[in-house]
Amino acid sequence: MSLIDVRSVSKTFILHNQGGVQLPVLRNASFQVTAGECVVLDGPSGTGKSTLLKMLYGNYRADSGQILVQTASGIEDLVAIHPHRMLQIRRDTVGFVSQFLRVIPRVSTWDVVCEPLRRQGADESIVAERARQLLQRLNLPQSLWPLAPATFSGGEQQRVNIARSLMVEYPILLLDEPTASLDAANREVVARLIEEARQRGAAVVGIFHDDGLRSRLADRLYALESAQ
Amino acid sequence: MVEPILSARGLTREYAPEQGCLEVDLDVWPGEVVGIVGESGSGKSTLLRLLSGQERPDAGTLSFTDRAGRQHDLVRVSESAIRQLQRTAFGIVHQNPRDGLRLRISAGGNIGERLMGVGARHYGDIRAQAVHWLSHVEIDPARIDDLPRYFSGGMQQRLQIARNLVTNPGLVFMDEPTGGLDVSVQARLLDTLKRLVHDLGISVVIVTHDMGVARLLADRLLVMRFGRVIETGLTDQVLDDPQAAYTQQLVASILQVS
Repeated sequence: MSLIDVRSVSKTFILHNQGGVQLPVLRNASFQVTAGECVVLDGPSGTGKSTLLKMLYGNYRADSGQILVQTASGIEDLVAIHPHRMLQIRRDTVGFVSQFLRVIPRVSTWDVVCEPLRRQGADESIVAERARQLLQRLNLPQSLWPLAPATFSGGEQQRVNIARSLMVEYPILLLDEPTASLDAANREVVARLIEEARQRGAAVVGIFHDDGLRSRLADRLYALESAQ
Repeated sequence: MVEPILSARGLTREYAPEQGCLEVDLDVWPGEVVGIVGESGSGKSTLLRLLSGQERPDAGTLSFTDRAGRQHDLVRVSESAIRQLQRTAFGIVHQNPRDGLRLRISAGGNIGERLMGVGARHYGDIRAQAVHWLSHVEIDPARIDDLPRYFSGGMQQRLQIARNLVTNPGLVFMDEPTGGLDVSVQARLLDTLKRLVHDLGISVVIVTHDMGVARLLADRLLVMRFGRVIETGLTDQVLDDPQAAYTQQLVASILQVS
């Protein structure tokens, strides 16, 4: 059964303030992802990999087509969904590991990481246990946990971001170059965490520029071509 | 499925052509932060005053469901019933804390006054509540007897928030709550607000012209121009993939500081 079913999705950016320039980025993208499967979006830069991934999270809009996802209460089309419902789907169904951490400046690493699971109303002892595990596995020393991540290095921030995004065991996991600024040891940790997500049945869609990681994780590649 | 606690359809208050607020549809669900953005004169503050019953619409419907599940028709309801709702079920946080506080009574008195407005009479209880709420908004409870006129702008704003939250409102309206504050004080206030919204399960409608504040605090956005809502969506979607020409212009004008 597909957890994600993308059907003929197209998108063109229209830059109203630059003379109405039209930039087609995606044309008729279609693919499915089943539980436990990892599909890697493939293609040279500018072919809309990142755009497509962001559409699966409701961050970018689609002009046409359908993005069907399996949620606990049935199949829903993200292209036509009300934003209020999309918030619930983000809370419970679809997780996204972006390249950058975006948080309120003063909030501690600990609270940043705990938030997604707290939002689901999970018991604080379960939240704390999970956060501790992830932070330790991602080699973020305990001395950093009370500090706000704003002053951390790029790699540390990315690991905070990964810990946060993996707190909830989402049925669908979207990864946008999750290891871009990590060293080899931490890349290995992240690869294992993604494998574990797949083993528990998550449908994973990712963009990986790292060839080793890509061949290790990808069940299939979905090749994108220029829409221009 | 959970129902919206506030629901507006065709809400209109027109002062002059394209001035005011025209045919606005809006739903607010429990626990959600809805941001209203736009330039000054776009109608966002008018919309907030209509939604919070500070002003009556010329046309449209507006209904509110309180925490007890009672529905209120905010267009037809009497003035006294509106004031009662504003004292209990709504919080209204003004941009300028001086509009929402009484500067000549103590910090504790500012909080206690609202409690007394809903029938609290026991001095010890009221004082205990005031201490509780001061610490909730990160004001040292030792300042309970001080006059807020001697507080910093950030502290006054925190006190205004405490005064509003003490009656456990389901819905809080905020008009540029971080407006006059330094950036570092803003960040701290935003953090407090975000925590309170989550812990207390309140819904918030917040008006701001600051896209950074909108991004950090709001779950969903409405973009207003010439009194109309021209774009709506998830906050990050509106800011990262704006559709309307005006929204693109608004987003492009954000200073990139990171």
